[in-house]
Amino acid sequence: MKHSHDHTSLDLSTNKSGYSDDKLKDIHVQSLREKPTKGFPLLPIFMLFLFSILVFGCAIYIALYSGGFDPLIYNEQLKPVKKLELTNSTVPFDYITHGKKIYNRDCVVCHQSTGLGVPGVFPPLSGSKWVTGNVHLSVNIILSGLMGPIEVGGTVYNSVMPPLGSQLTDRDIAGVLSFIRQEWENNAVEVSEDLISKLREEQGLRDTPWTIEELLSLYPEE
Amino acid sequence: MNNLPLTFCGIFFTLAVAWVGIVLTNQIQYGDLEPTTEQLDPKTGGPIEGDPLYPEKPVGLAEQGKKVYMDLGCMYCHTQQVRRKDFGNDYNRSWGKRQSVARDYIYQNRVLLGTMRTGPDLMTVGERLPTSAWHHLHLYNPTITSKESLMPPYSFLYKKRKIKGSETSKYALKLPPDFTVEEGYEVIPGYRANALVAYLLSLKMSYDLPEAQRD
Amino acid sequence: MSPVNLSNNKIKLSEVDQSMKWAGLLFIISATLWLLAGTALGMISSYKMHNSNFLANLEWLTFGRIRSAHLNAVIYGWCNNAIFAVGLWIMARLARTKVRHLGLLIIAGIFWNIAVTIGIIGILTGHMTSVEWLEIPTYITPLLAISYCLIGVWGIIVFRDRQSEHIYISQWYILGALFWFPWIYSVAQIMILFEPARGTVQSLTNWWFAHNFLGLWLTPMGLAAAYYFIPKVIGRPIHSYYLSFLGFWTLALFYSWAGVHHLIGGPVPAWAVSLGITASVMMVIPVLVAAINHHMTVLGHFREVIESPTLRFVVFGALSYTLVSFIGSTMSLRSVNEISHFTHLTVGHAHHGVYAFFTMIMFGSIYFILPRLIHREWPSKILITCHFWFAALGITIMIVALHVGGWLQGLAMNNPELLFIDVMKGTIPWLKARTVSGFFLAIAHIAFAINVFWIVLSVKNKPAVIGTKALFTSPHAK
Repeated sequence: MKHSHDHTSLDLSTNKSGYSDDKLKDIHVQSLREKPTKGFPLLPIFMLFLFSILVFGCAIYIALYSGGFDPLIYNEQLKPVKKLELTNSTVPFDYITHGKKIYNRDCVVCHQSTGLGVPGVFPPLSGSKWVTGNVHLSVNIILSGLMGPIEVGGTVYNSVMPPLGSQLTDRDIAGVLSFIRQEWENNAVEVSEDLISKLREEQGLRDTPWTIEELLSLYPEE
Repeated sequence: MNNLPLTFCGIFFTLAVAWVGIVLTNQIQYGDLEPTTEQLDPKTGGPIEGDPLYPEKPVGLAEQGKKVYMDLGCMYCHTQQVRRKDFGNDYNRSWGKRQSVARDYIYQNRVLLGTMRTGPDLMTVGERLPTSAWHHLHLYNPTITSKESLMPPYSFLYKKRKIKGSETSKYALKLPPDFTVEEGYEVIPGYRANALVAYLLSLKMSYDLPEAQRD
Repeated sequence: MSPVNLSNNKIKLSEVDQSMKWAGLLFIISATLWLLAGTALGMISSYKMHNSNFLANLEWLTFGRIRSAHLNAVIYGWCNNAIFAVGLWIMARLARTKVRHLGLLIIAGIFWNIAVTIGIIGILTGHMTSVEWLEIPTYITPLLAISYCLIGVWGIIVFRDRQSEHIYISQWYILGALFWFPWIYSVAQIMILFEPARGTVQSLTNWWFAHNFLGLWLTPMGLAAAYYFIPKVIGRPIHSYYLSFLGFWTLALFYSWAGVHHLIGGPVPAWAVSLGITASVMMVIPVLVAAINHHMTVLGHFREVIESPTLRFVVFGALSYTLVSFIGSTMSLRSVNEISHFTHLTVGHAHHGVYAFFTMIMFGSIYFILPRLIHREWPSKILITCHFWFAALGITIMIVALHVGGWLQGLAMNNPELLFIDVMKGTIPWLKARTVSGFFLAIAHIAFAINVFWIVLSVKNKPAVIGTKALFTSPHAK
């Protein structure tokens, strides 16, 4: 090497045959200029071939497995549905079906999907006389909540049921009541939306939940 | 090969294209994803009027618990995503009744999908194991609830204290014989333990979504 | 030897080295310290994986935290410091220009290391973000970003001041990486942590970032070093230099899309996943180019590989790059990923890339650079040999254990007959093997660290001169 002080033999890498930085560049610049003169340049042809095959394969893969670029398609084998075949038939509104949805969202956490509640904490709805009995009571309980002791199926529960009147519509309440009155062991008649509207107007939404005594004095048992 | 401006353009555009393609396009497609009803109205193709909308906004103590989940790094062993029925075995392990879809996560300000299943998936743990007592025992010492568990104990989230008066606190863990603490002491969950359990109990996928039905 | 047309106004190489001296020393020493810290953190987390009661009462050493501390110490501490040293030095060498305003560079370097330290402490004390590869708490990441920009801009300045016409392929890679890293980092910080994107768009951004951290930051830097050292040390031109540009552009084009394969089967659109898989498969092109250029150049020069510590590490890294990339393309296929996803195989694959490829090349580069920076000879050849063999053996054990163990874990997890607890129990022997491999790596790193501190601290160590009985004399002199 010309400038030996530039290349002390620190590390074997500057052995006799090693390149200096300038040589490293020059030799590669040269290699770019050189046109392959002899023989058939196999490597570029091979790379081109491989590149084409891969691009082709990948393009087919994307065409087949991209779900039409629909953001809501998660299974690559599906195709997007053609602009939702809209029908003119309206699904008839069914209180029980609607009520089940509401129940599963707002009630199931405490009363459970079995309707049996949590022993000692949240009372059961299945087989409960409060559910199947006088509907005025249960509507008011849903509208403004309930607190204090209540006896259900021989056990006294003492928790708080939150008021739901402001977040549920009359239709929701009619649905959910119709649902719980007919689900499980229960077998009582459906509840009409008008009744809810009437009671909502009569009682308003109270600031404090009902106690069962208040309700019983309001609606003495038949 | 030495055209510098062109090189810079190339360096810029290669990454720009990927960024637009992966990040921005998805943000455009998912940015206005809103909660919807479990089925769609066949008449309008939109949500059914009056039906409950899913997912719901996370609330309360569970959100505090998510912070505990994050700072302890739970997601490095537990995923929160369910793959579809015919892909992997998530369905048979009852990790979810359906695959999880992007809409399930829209209200999460930090999405913790995870990439490692040293432990089971937790997307629906609140449905599978709905009792807080189980979670407290499991967090306090995982070998109480599953003998051979490799999960580290999180006993530092619990306080051991002297029993006041004659009765143990109603919050005290009911430890099985091999794991009891000395006579006269009880173990009660700290605030962070309660928050974490509230978060775990809130992890549910109990509703359906229209786009998840096609799997 | 071969006559070089040096115009007289060119700066001497020793002046280039001299100008990098203090910054290079800072970055190499910091990198070494982070490597040791990262090893310790990694070993504790590895041991905890099969012995969950180990240090279980210390909240700040709980698995989730210490595992993340390991990851961040290694990538932001070790990898980035090594890149700052190696990348800037190669850039300065190839540009044939002095690094100026060293004071600012050193201050930026110090701030970078302070920020990483605070970040790791933040992770251990419970401020972790729980976003993979971005665990460092958000109160310190702006400082990280600013320090990076100050350091990265030096690479650009050095490049602008270059004295030579031709831009060598290593310079392309370094230039690209210096530009890509701040972009992916700031986008990820903003779209995940500061102004979170909607739902799983965060996850897409997360893996776009995390995969590009490897693909557009560590990989180009590793390749730049390999493209620099292999021909330089052997003294033989790159096999098909013209192909390396194809390699560069296809890497930039395809790697940047590949990250989505971490979300296969997840709540992201099928098309994004398909594109990610396609890009991962297309990675075969740049990998093949690198493989041809590196291995064909080395072919027939095994003597140099055995005798040059630099080349030994760099060639090990280059071979690993080929292997890890082909495995990576395979793992991204849906049918393979169905099994390998969510298992230790992914962890093994990450170590394959970051350690067996990137870290090994950085070791080799540091063995070349440090003596030139301070003009001293490496004090112990035995330690270097020890370093290489323990590192090579250790990482091989780890990769085999995690690949086999992870694959079996994936098969078991997809077998509905097996209980989850049994799936987990099946991984324990492989996890123990990983801990064993950790001991090997720890020995290797201690040997490396001793050598680094020895060469830096021993003033008596004479500079070696050509022809003397230096440790690393030419292979022919043995």
